[in-house]
Amino acid sequence: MASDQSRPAAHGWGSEARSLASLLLFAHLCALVIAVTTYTRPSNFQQKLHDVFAPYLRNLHFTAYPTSYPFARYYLTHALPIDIDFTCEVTYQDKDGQTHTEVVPRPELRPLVRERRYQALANAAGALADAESNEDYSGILPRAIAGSILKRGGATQGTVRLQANYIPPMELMDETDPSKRVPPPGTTYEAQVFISGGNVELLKKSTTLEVAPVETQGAPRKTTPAPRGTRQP
Amino acid sequence: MTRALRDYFARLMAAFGEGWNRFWFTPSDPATLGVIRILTGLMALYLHGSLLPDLVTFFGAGGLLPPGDIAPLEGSTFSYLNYIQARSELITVHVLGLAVLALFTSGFWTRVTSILALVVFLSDVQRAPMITGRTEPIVAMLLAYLCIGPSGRCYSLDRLLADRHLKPGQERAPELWTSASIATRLIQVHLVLWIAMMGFSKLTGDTWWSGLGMWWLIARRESRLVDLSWLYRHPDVIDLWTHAIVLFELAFPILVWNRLARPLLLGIAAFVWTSLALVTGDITFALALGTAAMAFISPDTVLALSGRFWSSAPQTA
Repeated sequence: MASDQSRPAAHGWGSEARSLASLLLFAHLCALVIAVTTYTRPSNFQQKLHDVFAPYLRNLHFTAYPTSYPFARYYLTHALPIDIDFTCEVTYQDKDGQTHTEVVPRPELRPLVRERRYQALANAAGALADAESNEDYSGILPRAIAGSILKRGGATQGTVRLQANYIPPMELMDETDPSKRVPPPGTTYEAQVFISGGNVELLKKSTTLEVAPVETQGAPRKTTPAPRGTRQP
Repeated sequence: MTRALRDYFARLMAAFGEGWNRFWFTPSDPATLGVIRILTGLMALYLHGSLLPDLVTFFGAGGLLPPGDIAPLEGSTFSYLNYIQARSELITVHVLGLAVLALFTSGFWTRVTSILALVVFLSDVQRAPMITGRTEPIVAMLLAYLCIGPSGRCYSLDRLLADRHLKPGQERAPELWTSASIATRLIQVHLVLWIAMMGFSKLTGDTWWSGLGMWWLIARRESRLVDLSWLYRHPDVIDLWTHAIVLFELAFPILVWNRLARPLLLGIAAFVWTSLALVTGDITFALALGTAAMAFISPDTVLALSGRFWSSAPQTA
């Protein structure tokens, strides 16, 4: 075996290159630290700092700080009404008078990541319909989803409904009756959809995101002050 | 007193500078980056490729996500998909993106394809962040840092093509790259900050303090891969699981820097992330974290595992 490999070829950098790289690294690390520390409960000062670095952070997808709502929840759950899965149902009549209902997400889409994308879309719509979220945002996704489905089905009007799939409290898991064990889905947003001249209009019926999950029966565990599996204050 | 202070700060700055240079600029073998490139490329290929069946449904004319309508939700970020709606154009551009990601994964023209792969992936993500999740920021981070380091120098077509000119029996001398160290370190630091963020953000709510965090994930029927709701009979296990995840996410960013603790932390990480993948159904997130955590495996170990260990290679990273 030959050997021009007695010593490794080192591609080291000179001091000027290291200085420039250090400056860039320092700026980058500052941006990263700001991105990370502003993720939840940022102060006004932190928000201002985030705004300074926002073009850099957002275009490289280096920040999870929400523009409108938390698309990527790295805390996984805070037991809030939006920390559950939602379903978006669009009902319409076609030209023959037949009623159709399309559901987002459609189950059993494969590969799994496809189903997760539709689930993420329904969850985004559900979270934005939350009474505490910005009212201007709440109708954006229901309008987009319903408009697309109605146009595809050749309908001019229909209904869009967001359903929250509530989490069962631990105390109800012993129930033998499945209807008591699993809380029924709750409608959190409902609107009539109209299409005229290519424009999609919504006439909202309700925005009633309930506290999830429903706590109706079963004694809470004595070891904990709050009922298990219920929304935390 | 003033002189003592001046001496102290001079020593502090010298030590900091020395440590900074050693941390970021000690040249290292790009073997680890080569493996990370392949895994990241495969993940980007999967995420990009799986978008194809729904491409027109989401982004086409009359699709679910018209760019004008959803613009207020996503902020102003670049995506070439914002300018394309025709079915044929969407599919053509998407297939070209697939080709770019395949070339990047195989390590062909890696310097160019790494940058193109980042553009392709970011365009997918930033066209509609509401159909993305926790995985995409991790994959974007990996793709961005792989543009910096010479990830195509190992386990790549570039390497195979370069070695064609070697005489029979001759082997190329190992190469140590400063840019490989910088890229690897950036992945390490970014991952550590992200995991710290995951841990601290959990502590801003009561759920993870009260031990209920895992129940809220287990009980989500639409997301989970495995039904573990029978664990309600063992609430202590749920409490323990919840606290263990928070503890891990707070401990990892500190302990992973310790060489002795690192293998243990990486082993626990594999267990924790797999368990979360089963409960949340977010397999790609666990895979992305696992790929990023590869940055903590030294090039020597990677070379040893790949059967190309070079015994006299200096210790790196």
